[in-house]
Amino acid sequence: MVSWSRPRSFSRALRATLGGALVAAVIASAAAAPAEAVEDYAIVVSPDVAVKSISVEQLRRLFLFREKYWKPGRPVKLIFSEDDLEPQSFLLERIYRSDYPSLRRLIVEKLYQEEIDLAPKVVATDEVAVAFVASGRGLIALVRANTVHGTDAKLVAIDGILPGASGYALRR
Amino acid sequence: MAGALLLSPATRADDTEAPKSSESTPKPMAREFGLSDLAPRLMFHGFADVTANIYFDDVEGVGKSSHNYFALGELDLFIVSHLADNVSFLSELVFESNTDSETAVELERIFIKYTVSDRFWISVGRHHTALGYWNEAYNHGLLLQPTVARPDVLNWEEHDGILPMHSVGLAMGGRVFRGPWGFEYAANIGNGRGLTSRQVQTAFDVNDQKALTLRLSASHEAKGRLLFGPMIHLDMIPADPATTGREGEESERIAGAFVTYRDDRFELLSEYYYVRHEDLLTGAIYNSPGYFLIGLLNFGKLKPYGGYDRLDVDTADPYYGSEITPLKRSLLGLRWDLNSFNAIKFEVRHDIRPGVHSNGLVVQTAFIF
Repeated sequence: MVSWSRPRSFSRALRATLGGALVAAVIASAAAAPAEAVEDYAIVVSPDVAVKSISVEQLRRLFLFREKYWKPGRPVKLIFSEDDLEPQSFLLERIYRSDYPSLRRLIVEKLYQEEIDLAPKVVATDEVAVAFVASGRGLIALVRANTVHGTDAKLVAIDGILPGASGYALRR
Repeated sequence: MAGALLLSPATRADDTEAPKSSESTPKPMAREFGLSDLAPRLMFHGFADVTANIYFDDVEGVGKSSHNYFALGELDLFIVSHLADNVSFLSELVFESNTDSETAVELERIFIKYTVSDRFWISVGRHHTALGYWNEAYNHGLLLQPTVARPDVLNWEEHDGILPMHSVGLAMGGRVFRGPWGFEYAANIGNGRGLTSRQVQTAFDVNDQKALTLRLSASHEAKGRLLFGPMIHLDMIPADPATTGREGEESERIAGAFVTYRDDRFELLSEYYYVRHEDLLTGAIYNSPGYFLIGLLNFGKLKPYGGYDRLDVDTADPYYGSEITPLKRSLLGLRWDLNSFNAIKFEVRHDIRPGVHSNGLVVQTAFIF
């Protein structure tokens, strides 16, 4: 009996230990897992742009070249970073609701339809876009919010809400 | 993603945008934008197309026949130049082969544009008239339009069109936005019609009365974008004593309306025009309505479409002559966007003209370069 009881109790103990360890591992992994990745995107404009907040509708109009002036004599100039033009990028998905090839055609269409006389500029990264917006006039860019640090570029609220706050619209 | 730079192949930083000092200039920025411009920035692009056609005609009293041919379309070269933040220039030059295989060149558009704000811009030169949506949205760019050909009512003047598609003179317009709504106006004041409907008076006006065009439009943006509005065009067509029936001036009044809708899956385009000519010598009145309706489904690269196109030109109107005939056209097609800058369109048509029924199959490759 003893010869059987020891293995059974050993087996139970082993199962209990492994089971407990598994449960603990699952709980630990759940606790340790990062919350669902959330990223805020920020709209930055040049220091001379007297705008503190814009609506999502206005943002789309600006990026679709329908609204082209901040005020008389001060045109809106878009800056794209190459990050914005990657497939599945926030800009393409949420603002243009389109893909990169369609955006390229849109630019040519707008040139041909006399809606714009310059194609938007493209820079390598969000950081460069922010630096360029900060040093220019009438510029606007959409960048990852965590790239806006210690710069003269102005952060613009969306419908009155800034990045990081509850209810911010440019988030995924 | 090196290809991203192609989005702005001709851009360079100008002095208004240049970083404040070279010390603060990030290296990537300097590499991307280079030095400031010393001359206006200019962009040069073009459209072209080639179409294969097969037609089966049934002519009353003659019988059935067929013909097939390849046709070079228009070679459209356009230049856009940024002269200053509020001043731009555009020119559009079109090379086109006619049925005699001769190539003609025409300056379709050329103007300088001054923009004050979204609410007001003005330009002077030769423009496409602010009629409806199609004429200014697609112009000569066959890649941009959904179908192989323009609707008959929107044919160019030299292609037996009934409307004044071009205007030489002033153009102006502007827009305002209120929430999801946008309101826009556009107007032309120009030389107006010449002695025939094929003429665009580019360097002279036979009479002193200018043509006036006004288009109003409203747009609403939600899941899709709806755009609609009316237009009116007024002109005095000069008399042409050398042509029988054209001894008197004709007053021209064109009223029209358009509606377009586009969302991720569906697109609709429709325009209606009613042309009224009154001979001021005889009192005769000629009415010529025309309209089209085109619907298109969007499945990404593939876009099936269908439409109906009708022109009821008054064949007694001496201003149009006998070359312009009524048309009823039904069409079905499939547009295949190979990439951003090239599309192939397959289209079948059924045309009814006086005394002629024809079925056609056309395949077109249209591209921008």
